[in-house]
This record gives sequence, C-alpha cells and structure tokens, in this order.
Amino acid sequence: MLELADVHTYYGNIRALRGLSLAVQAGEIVTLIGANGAGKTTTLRTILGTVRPRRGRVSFNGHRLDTLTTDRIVRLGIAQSPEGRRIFPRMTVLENLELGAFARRDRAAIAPDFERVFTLFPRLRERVAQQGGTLSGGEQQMLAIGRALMARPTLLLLDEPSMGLSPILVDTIFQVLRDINRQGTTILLVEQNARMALRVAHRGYVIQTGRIVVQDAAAELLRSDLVRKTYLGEK
Amino acid sequence: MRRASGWTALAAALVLYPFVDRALGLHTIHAVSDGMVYVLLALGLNIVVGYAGLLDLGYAAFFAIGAYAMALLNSPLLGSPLYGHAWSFWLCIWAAAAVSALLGVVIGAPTLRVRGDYLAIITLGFGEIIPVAIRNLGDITVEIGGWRPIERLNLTGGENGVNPVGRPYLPGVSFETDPAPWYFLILVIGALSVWAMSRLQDSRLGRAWMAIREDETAADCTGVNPISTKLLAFALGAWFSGFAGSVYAAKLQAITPGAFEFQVSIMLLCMVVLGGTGSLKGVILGGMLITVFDRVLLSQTTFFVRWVGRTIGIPALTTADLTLWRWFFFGLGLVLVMLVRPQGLAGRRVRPIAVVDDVDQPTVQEAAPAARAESIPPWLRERVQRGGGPESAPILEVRGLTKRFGGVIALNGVDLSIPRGAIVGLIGPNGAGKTTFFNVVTGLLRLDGGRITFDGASVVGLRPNAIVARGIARTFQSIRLFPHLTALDNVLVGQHCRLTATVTGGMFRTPAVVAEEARARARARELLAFVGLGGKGADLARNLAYGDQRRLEIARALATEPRLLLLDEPSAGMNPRETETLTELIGLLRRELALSVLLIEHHMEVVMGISDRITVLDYGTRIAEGGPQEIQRHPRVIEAYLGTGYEDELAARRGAR
Amino acid sequence: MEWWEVLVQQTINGLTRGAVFALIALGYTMVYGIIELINFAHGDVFMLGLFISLFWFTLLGVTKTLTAWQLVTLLPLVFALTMLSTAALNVAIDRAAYRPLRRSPRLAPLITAIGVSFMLENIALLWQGPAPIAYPDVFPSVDILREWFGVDSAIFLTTKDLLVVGATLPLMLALHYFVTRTTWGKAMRATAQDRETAAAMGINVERTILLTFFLGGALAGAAGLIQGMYYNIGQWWMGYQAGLRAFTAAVIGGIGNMPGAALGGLAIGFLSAWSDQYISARWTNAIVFSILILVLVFRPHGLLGERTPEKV
Repeated sequence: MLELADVHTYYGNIRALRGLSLAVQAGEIVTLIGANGAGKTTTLRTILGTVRPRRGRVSFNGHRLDTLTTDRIVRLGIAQSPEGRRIFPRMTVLENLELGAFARRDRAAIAPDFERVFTLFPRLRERVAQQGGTLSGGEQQMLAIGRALMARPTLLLLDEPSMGLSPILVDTIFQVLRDINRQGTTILLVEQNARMALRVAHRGYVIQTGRIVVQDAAAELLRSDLVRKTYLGEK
Repeated sequence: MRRASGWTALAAALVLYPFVDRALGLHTIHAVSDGMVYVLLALGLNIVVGYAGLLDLGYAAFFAIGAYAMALLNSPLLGSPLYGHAWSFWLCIWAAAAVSALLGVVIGAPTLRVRGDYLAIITLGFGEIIPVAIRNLGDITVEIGGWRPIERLNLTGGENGVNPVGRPYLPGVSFETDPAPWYFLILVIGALSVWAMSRLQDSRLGRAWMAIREDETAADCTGVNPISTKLLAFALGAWFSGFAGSVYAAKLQAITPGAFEFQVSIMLLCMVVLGGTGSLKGVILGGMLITVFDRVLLSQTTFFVRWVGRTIGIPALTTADLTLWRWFFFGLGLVLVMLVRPQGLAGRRVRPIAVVDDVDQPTVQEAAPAARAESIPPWLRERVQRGGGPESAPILEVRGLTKRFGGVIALNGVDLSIPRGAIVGLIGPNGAGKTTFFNVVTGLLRLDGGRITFDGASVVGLRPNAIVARGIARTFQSIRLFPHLTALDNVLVGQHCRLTATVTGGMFRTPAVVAEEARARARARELLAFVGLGGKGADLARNLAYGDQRRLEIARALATEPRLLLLDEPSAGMNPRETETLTELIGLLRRELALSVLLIEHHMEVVMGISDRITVLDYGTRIAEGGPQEIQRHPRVIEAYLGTGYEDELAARRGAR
Repeated sequence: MEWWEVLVQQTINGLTRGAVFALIALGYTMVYGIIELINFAHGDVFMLGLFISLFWFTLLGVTKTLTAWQLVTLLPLVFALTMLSTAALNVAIDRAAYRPLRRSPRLAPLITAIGVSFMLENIALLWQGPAPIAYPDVFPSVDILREWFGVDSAIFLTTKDLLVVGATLPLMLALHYFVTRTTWGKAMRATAQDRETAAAMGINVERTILLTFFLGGALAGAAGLIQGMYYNIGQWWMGYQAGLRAFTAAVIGGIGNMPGAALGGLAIGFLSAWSDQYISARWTNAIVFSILILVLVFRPHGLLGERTPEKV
C-alpha cells in the first residue's frame, strides 16, 4: 500500500534520511522504532509532504506522493496523529474532530463517525465543548487519534502516541489501535517506546541515523537483543 | 589597492563636479548638495539597518532633532547665547550630533527586547511623535482650573519653524548664496563620516553589529552584549544625522516640521535597501541614484513624454507630470527589491546552498584533516588552563535545578556535577529537557529554583554574554552560525568578549587596538586551522559544507576561551567518518587542554565512547548517573528509552521459546 | 453645553469612530494571525474603499441624498460592489507582493507592504488629486433627538450615527458567524493556530490565506464607504493615519484575536474622541502612538492575546 524506496531527505544541509526504504501492506500494523534523532518523524513528514525528499520515491496505492502537496496527499486517504499531538488549542474537541473530516467528500457519512470516535474514546464525549488546549495529555492524544479517524483514512500515521502518557493510558491507546486495525485501517506507527510498539505491531523496522538497520516480524524483534543495542549504543 | 581605487575615483569625481557644473552652466550644485545631505542621512541609517539589522522606520526623527538642535542653538529666535559668534556653527554641529545620539538611545531603549517587526513599528511611532511634538511645542499653554502657569511658551518655533539660522564662518569663505562652499562643506563632512563608518564596520563593534543582525541569540551566546551593541547602533546612527541635519538647517536658513515626515524616512530606507544593506559604496550609489531619479529623471522624462504627446497628438500625454509619481516609483522600487532579493535583509531563515552528495562520491569528499595535539594554539592552552578554583572541585555544580513553562515542569530538581577536565554526557528520550537544561545554564532561560555554580561562583541571573565572559561556551542543536559573515569573522566574534577595543579606539585605530586586532586575527586563523578549516577563512559561513559548519561553530566557541564547553548534539547529521573526527577532536580538547565538556548527544556510540560520566534525564527528572557501562545496563534507563517492562518482556519471550 | 452633554456627545463620537476602526482593525488582525505580517497597506485599502464607493455611486447616478427606496436597493448594492472591489484588490496585493515572500525573513514582506502602501497612496493622489474630495451627502442626516423625539438638546445624534452602528454590527456579527460556525472559517482559525497541522487536515493553506485577505479587504472597503457617507470627505493620505490607529487598536486587543480587534477599535475610537475634546486634536496622534509603543513594549500580546515565547 505504502512504499518508500531509497529516500533521501534533507533539512537544509543536513541529511536526515539516507536511502530509507520501507513498505506497509494493507491491513498491517507496521512500526518504525529507533532512538531520538534517528529520522522517525522525518520519515512521516516525508510521507505527508511536509518535507520533500531530494531523492527516492514515495508511493501510495500507485500514486506518487513525493510530488504532491500535503493537502492533496491527505485527500488520497492518509491521516496522521502528529508528534506532540498538535491539537488546535483554541478550538473545541468537536471542532477539532470536524476539521479532521475537512477533506472528505461524503459529507453525509461524517455524522456516524463522530459516534465511532466517541465510542472508542468515551472521555472525549464528556469534553466535547471544551477547548483543545485545556485537555490533559492523554485526552489530547485521544483527540489527535480521533481527529485522524474522522478522515476515514485507509492509512493512519501515528507519531509517538505514547509520549508523556501514563502506562495505563498507553495500554488503552494501543488497545484502540488494535481495534481500529481490526476494523480495517492500516497503521504505520512511529514510536520510541519499543516494547509497546512491538507488542501491537505485525512487523517492525529499526531506523538509525536515517536508514533502516533491521527489519523483521515484531515478535522476532522483541526476542532479540539487537533493538536494545541499537537504542543504547552498545557495539 | 583595488578597494582604494573605487573610492579615489568617486572622490575625484565629486571634487571636480562643481567645476564641471560651472563650466557647463548646469546650475545643479544646489540640488546636488541637498542630495548629498540625504545620502549622508542614508549612511547613518545604514548603520542601524544595514550593519545592525534593526529596521528603523522613523529615522527622519533624528534628522529633525539634528536640524532643530542646530537651529535652536544657533538662532536669534529663542535668544540662544551661542548665536552670532564665528565659532557658533562649528560648536553647534557637534552639540546637535550629541543631542541626536542621545535621542537615539532614548528611542532605542524601548526596542531592546522587542522583535524585528514590532521594533520597526515602535521606531515609526517615534518618527510620528517627534514632528507632532515639534509642531505643538511652539505654543504651549497649560491651564489648570483658572490658573495658567505656562502661557504661549515657544520651544520649537511651532508650525512656522525656526529662522534665521546662523551660518558657518570661515575666513575668506562666504556661506551665502553661492552654492559651492556649501557643496564642499557637505562633501568634507560626508567624507569624514564615510571614513568613520568604514573604520567602524571593520572594528570590534562593527562585527558585533553584524553578529546581532545575523542572529541575536547566537551573538548573545557568543559573548556579544546585545543591549549595548544595539544602543550604540542607534546612537551612532543618529549621530551622523545630527551632522546632516545641522548642515541642512544652516543651508536652508529655515526649518519647519513639515520636512521630517514619514515619507522622508521611507526614501532613506529606499536608499539603504537599494544599495544593499551594509555596503557603504552601495548606499552612496543607491542614494545618488535615487536623488538623480527623484530630482532629474522624473522631470526630464516628463518633458520627454509631453513632447511625445505633442508630436504624436495624444492630449493626455501633453499634461502628464511624472514628478507626481515619485512615491509610486519609490514604493514600486521597494517592492521589486524585496521580491528579487529578500535576503538582502539578513534574518534567521536563510536559503540553504546545495550540498555535495557524498553518497555518489565517497572517495572524493575528503574527511577534514584530523586535529592534532601540536596544532593546538599555545595561547589557547594557556588561557584555558589558567584560573579557577581548586583542582578537585567540580567546574560546574548544579543543584536542584527547576524550570517551569506555565503548568509544565520541564526540569524537576536536576542535580549535575562536572568534574574539572571531564567529559559528561547528558542523554534522555525526546522531551526530557536536555536543551532546556543548556538554555538555563547559559542564561537564555530563567530558572525557577536551584543553584548553578561555575568555578565556585554562582552564575544565576547573569545575561548569556556575561556567562560566556565567565568561561562557559556553547554550540547549538541546529547550527547557529552567522551565515553572511566569513568563517574568520565568525570566529572573531567569538573573541569579542576577550577584546577591549572601544568605539573611539576602533575608529582612530590606536596602536593598542591595531595590535589587539592583529593578535585576534592571528588567533582566529590558528583556531580555524586547528579544527580543520585552514584555508576556508574567507568563505561565507552559509557556503560551507555541513560538517565544516559544525566545526566552525566549535572554533567560534573555542575563541571565547572557555573553561567549560557545552555541545548540543554536535554530531547530528554527520556521516560516520565525520563523527569519528569530531569525537577525536573532543577527546583532544579534553586531553590536551583539560577543557571540561558537557555533551548532549543522541548518537549513543559517541556518548558511550567518549564520556567519563553520563547523566540521564527523563521528563525533566534525573533518573540515572554513572559511567557508560553502568548506564547501558541501568534498568530505569532501558525503561525510559525502550518502554516499561522491556527487559521483562524480553526475558519472557526468550524463556518461552 | 453641560459637561455631561459633552461627555455623551464624545461617547457617541467615540462609538462611531470606534466602529470604523474596528472594521479596519479586524483586517489587520486576521492577516497577522495567519501569516504574521503587519499589512502596512491595509489602511490604504480602506482609503481606496472610500474612493471606489464614490466611483460606484457616481456610476449608478447617485449624486444627492438617497430616497428611502434607493436606500433599500442601491445602498446594499454599493456596499456589495465596494466590498467586492476592495476584497479583490487585497487578494491581488497578496498574490503579487506578499505570497512570493512567504518563506523570507519577517522584515521583507513588511518592507514590501510599505512599498505597496506608497503605490496605493500615489494612485489615489493621481486619481482624485491632492485636495480633499467632496463625498456627496448620500445618506440622509436627520437629527433624531430633535425630529423624532422632540427633545431640544445640545447632543447631536443623527441617523448617520445609526448607519454606522447599523452597518458595522451586522458585518462584525457575520464575520464572527463565518469564523466560528462555517467550515472555511474554522479552516482559517486552524491555519492561524497551526499551519502545518492544518495542511495535514487537507486544508489548502494558500487558499485559506487568500480568503483571509478577501475578507479583510471587504471589511476595509465597507469601512471606507461608511466613512465617506458619514464624514462626506476623503483624502488620499487618510489611509496612513487611519491605518496606524487601527493597527494600534488591533495590537491593544491582542493581535491575531478578532474580538480583541473589535474591542481595541472601540477603545481607540473613544480615546481619540476624548483626546480631541479634552486635550487637543493636535496631540491625538502623538497620544495614540505613545500608547502603541507602550503596548508593544510592555504587553505585546495585548489584552486578549496569548504570550508566545521564542523557541531557542
């Protein structure tokens, strides 16, 4: 469904991605894990068109993404829950969710999707008229995911959803991710918390200094010492 | 020599012009003299906008103050005792300049903490207030109840202005209706001003101005005091408008508030922007072009258009008057220059230069020469090792450091201690507070609790540049060099806090200052060579390759002669070879110089390989401290990076096989 | 006049001035909120609104006071035409002069805006000449207190005052509704709060920015029309002063904050009216600018705005 082939992305002079290649098949949960500064967020930004790769291809269901603007890419069926949540702080929960559905053509089908989000995240229903900036970290994360779901995406990108959340909340969120996936949404999950990510994913890629160093089934990665060594710089 | 020839040609042309004018009967000297006054003003504005990067939209206020200071001091209107003497003009011109400079400080002071576009508006506000004040202070009446303590007080001549104004007196020269003496007077003043400005540009202060312009925060963290530097820019920029205003007032023999409106400020801005902010020759040329355009081209073209209209028979053209279009063209000029060359105004967002792609040419891209112990400049060795407390005391001691942003606790009572001559690594997952820690220690952020002691003395509450002077230097996560300055100049800015040249010293190039500059330059070159940028001193920082830029930042930090170096992700974006060279450099600094280093890094091999001790932060709290091996096996660290229960999970799955 | 009559009169004056300032200030604040640009030319768009409205009136053959029938048919038409004209002008300015500089240092578009401002002023100067232009007394001016209520008072309250309030209030309410209830309005707010994430919602950022300029321009045009009908006079340089006062209003209210701009407009309206009356009209400019400087230095986020610290 999604494929990155030999992608090189630069920020000015800095090369953030050095020939990165990965693929996500329909229906999977794939996770991209790695230490800080390794290029995880850059990968997602490259997919979404926030930054353009200087070399390589990004394709989604046959469309080339690396030549499109972000709003066009999103309309192809990709949505994201960004790093740091990036809730619109001075808009209500409801308005945030409405904006998630901004790009949709099938306006009639939007209403039931609100229900779906509120069923997955009952806490949001309670806070529906509250301003986004006043929510707690966990609630904002739920809102970010809910907002992404409102777009009824075929591919959902998540950037560090566990950041700043208590273990219980993380469990809840990851449970929801499983449910969403079972309902048919493909997920690419970027995470620093390798354990949670590998437990929920089918496959995993480990990124280090801008390129993939290991890829395997998630269960296998959880068994090997390689991930820890990569994260903590052991030789 | 090439530089001088441009100037001599210009000077010769200007000196000869009046004779040419007289010979050809052009009668343009009056207009040209007036034009030169405006060019001098533009040069003064260039100091503020071009050198220091402060967008001043109200510069006409200084022009007004200069003119009015001369006029009021040297006119019988308000009964000034200075009027009527042979030396009146020559004294008052300096007084006017000083008054203008003072106003520069007054106007500059409120803008110090305000960012660029607001600064522009504030200066514009002053530019409006001053003429209003001048207009209205010609007739002041204060009435409280029925009592009138002040009645019809005239401070400025009001709407009618001030006249007459005393003329300059030189034996044998008559400053009356013959324009030639005025022309040469302005020319001499202008030449001296240009000389002073070029001296300033090339001095310690000039470099400080340009550093502020390029990146104020980075300049602050390199030892340049932004407050005094900005105030000096305003004061000195205003000073020259004092000269210009004085001559203007004396020549015109009458000044009114109407001559100092917003449009004048903008015309001057046009001259500076067109000429290329910062370049003296450019501004002079730009000024001349605009003056010619304004006074000559528009009227001549009008004649031409009218002639065309008459000849071809289009009635509309025969009544055209292009001089009415002057502001349209000035406006258009501003728009076009901005569209074509927006980075003519330096700012932090600079367009990146294309980078050599080392994937294709792995062998062609040379690794920079490795730093060697022998190439450490001896003066650096001496500076770094001198001074400070007892050998056994840590060089940096941080206790209970707390920092809050609104409701979020970014740093929660962090303790950290750096032994003298050690390399300490600071690591932690995203958002752990590492850069915040740096920012608090270097004075960019205020702490909410705790103590920071450097070499036995507290550094809490000090400005960043003062902390640099104490001996802590830093680099930045995303490189913050001065992009439009050369590599050498970048390093020289580092030396700023160790040099002592004053404004007058820099202008007059006293022997002490000359020696100091030569020494600073030699040291800067040695530092460049040391980090492996030997032949690249004349390259603009923005044109250097990425790895070179990182090294340049380190050279600049070393130029401040620090005893503690804070490096924020120095190896970010580097390829393995460059990372290795960098690691060696850091090790060398510690080994040979006993320089203490605090290092934020995400490259775990780097940190683990080079650090003596490592402190781990997670959500603002210190969760671990110890040697590299210890940290790699520390359960809380593993949890923080890889997730709670990671090790258990690992064991469970292995056991289940 | 009794002191309280003076006060009431000046309050009426303040309100009518403030309403016009509020309309202009909204344009400043919306544009600043979305692209952080002080649109220096905005005051001149207001001035051209006055000129353009006069043009439309002339074109429609209106040279004297409108009849009741014309008030209902022609006046809304001229409103619409004027607002569309200035909206189109504002959009054109953005596309030609500001859009190419979206990624430039912040000072570059500011200088460009100054250049555009000068161009617009010069065009107006050439179009209508340097002298003040006479704006026909299009809107009937009826002394309400005297003729409707039979009250003989020194206070002067006319139908023109009602016009100002009656025209500005619906416009501001309409804008408020648009911005808070419609999808595009929410897109505007979202883009102002977080441009990158807005794009990730599928919002076309450039189109949203154009919409902002369109709305801001329309409001400035309405303000120009109202100004012309109220004061019956206009001059090519009026945009500069009005623009700076309206910008002060926007800053006081908290730049980027729309209710703040409306409040700030009223505040500056009252302030300038009281200053004219109790101090002297000669000093009002200096007072307004002094306030601008004080706010920018000591409370740059204004009354209703939020602090935004710089990222290091």
